[in-house]
Amino acid sequence: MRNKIRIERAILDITQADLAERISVSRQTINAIESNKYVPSAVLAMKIARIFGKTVEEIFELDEND
Amino acid sequence: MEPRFLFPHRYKLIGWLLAIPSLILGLSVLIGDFYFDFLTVKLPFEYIFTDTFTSSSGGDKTTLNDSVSVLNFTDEIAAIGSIVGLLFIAFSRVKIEDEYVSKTRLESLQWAIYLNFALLILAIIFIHGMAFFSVIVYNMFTPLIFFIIRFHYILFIKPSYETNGKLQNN
Repeated sequence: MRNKIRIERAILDITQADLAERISVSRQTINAIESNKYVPSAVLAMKIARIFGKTVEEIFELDEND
Repeated sequence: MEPRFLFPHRYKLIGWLLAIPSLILGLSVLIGDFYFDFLTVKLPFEYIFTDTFTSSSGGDKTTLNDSVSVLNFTDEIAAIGSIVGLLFIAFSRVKIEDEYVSKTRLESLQWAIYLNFALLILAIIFIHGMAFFSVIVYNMFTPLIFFIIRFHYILFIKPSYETNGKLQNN
């Protein structure tokens, strides 16, 4: 799964740590999701989308391997 | 999702304080034949769950005469301290527990078990006789030690290493 978290963070001008704090996860988790090493649960994906004021599908999309 | 079966975060520090002295004590028992005399206990009866297997190397000084057993508890203290300490380090919550941490914990546990038994198989093939006894002793602690190293490496050391690498590249 691909995601646009890094781009959305740049738009809001917040760091990985800021985003992590807002959805109460660790900074390592955001880092792992951004570098496509970890696919978040549906709950976490929806929390991330809500911070950016978008739908989950605007942030996350399936790739060839899914 | 609340992770289950974990100790509170402060147990990690307690674990380190317990495990490090215990492991040092355990190694000095194994390598240096070190024993605290005040931990020697004389039992006024024949204690059946022991033999002279380890006493030839100066280990548990077990002498059985006139139905009196002499036991030394240095190695027992070291082993229990190490196990409890390592369990606390391994299975206490990190500051922020989330789903990625849970996944890393389970993956590291599986990784540690694979590595442990791979090394055990090598030891079974290459180490024979009484020397294999030490392999079994070390093997009581290696699964937890491998787990702790891998879990902390993935969670804390590798990301900061990668971030520094990226900064240098840019």
